[in-house]
Amino acid sequence: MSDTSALSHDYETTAHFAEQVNSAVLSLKKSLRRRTFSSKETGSLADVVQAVRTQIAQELTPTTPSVPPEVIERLTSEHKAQMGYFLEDLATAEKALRGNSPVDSEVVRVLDDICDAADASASAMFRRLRRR
Amino acid sequence: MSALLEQLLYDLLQRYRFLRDELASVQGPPPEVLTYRDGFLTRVDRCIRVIEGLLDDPDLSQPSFARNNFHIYKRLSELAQAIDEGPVLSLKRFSSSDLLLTRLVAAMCREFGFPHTPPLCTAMSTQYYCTITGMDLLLLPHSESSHLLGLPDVYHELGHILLFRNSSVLSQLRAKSQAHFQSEVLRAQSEAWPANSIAALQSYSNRWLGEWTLEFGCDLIATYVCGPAFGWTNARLCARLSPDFYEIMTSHPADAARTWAIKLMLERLGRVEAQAIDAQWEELRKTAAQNESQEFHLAFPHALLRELVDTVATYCSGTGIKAYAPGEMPIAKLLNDAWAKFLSNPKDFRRWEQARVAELTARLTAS
Repeated sequence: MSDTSALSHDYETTAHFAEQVNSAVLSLKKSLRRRTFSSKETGSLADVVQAVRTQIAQELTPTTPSVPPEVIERLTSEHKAQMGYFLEDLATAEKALRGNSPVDSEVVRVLDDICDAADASASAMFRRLRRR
Repeated sequence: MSALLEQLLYDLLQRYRFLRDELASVQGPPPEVLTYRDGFLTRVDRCIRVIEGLLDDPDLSQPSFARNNFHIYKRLSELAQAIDEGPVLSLKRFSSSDLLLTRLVAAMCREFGFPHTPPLCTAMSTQYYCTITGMDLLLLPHSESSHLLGLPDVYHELGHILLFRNSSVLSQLRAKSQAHFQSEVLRAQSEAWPANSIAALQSYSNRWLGEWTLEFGCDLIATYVCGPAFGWTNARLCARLSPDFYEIMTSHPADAARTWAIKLMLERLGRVEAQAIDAQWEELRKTAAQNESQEFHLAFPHALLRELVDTVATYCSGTGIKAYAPGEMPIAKLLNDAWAKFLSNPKDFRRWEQARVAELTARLTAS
């Protein structure tokens, strides 16, 4: 009934998303460093990138996973000036993560952007819950 | 000197070990509270192992992984703080009022077929009724364990846990709101509405995508399972706390829109009390001298509210969540009886209420 319940819900959803994406990106970075990378393991990350792109482009297609609205807002605001390029980068990253082109440092940069936005959103909500 | 991340992780490891000891030292709670405590002991132990694993990882100092490891640290650190401020605080100060509320909430959950383990409930909130979703913890103000008229709000809070655990229904509700506003924006553009009106539609659409859908969903679940008592409690809460029934805020939908949605659900359930609640709302609106703003119906269209009511009712009936049935739901019936009694004789209500609370306490805390 108070704002706390809704914020707590949003925090949990966003923190869970941040945790999942961060863990998958860390695994990807480790496999790239050890040269054991296989695109078979990056399908879920490709789904995340696709969901981010679809939600930023405001397409009504239901996506799995669903990306928390705060993460989308943050990414939209950070890339507002060059949204066209960002959407292109997301499409390229998704293609690479599905095994259709090499996963290079540009793909990792896009994934880091998503991780950072998810982390910042979760942190901001956690702090708002404590009204500091 | 050790690296920053290593320092932070050792600090956090010590905090988690302290929390583990605090949880383990909780002595002699009843079985359902022990189960709740044990769940957190397991979670804390798991976090300790994750931190120890990170500290043993030779890649911890690898620069290209630093940011990701820092993000892991932050989530773990937030969890430690949340466990400290929620479950540990509640368990270390668990009182007889908390036991009554925890068992009352469990009884409510059994009655309507809540499909998850009931949350712990304590009377130590400074934020009216609220739920710490990830901690399965429901917080109520101190006085609520001795009163009945506010308790229907517990069902709203249980709605938060339901929608968190069953995110598909929340996604459906959000998709309906987005479809509605997308078509409204297209209509507005084709009819050459002023730019600021189109921007307003887009802003409402974002608010529906955020908190509004969630709050409507919780209200509608509460009305579905608790019936008219939730409508009366909502009207009382608006009288107590609402500065403006039609105010379009970011965090919560306007109180008038929530009241309308509750009325629609009561009508769908065939509850005749919907009319009396509506009449009282109208009296409250006139007394408070509040009128609909021009944008109100744009932000909270009745057609969309009807769709939400249908979606929530279909979800509930499809997942075994029971609609309010006085004959099968003694706690929900008691709360509805309390409102009927109060409305018929507010002056003498407190004596009746005290007797019912005493009976409830004896029944629920006997074992």
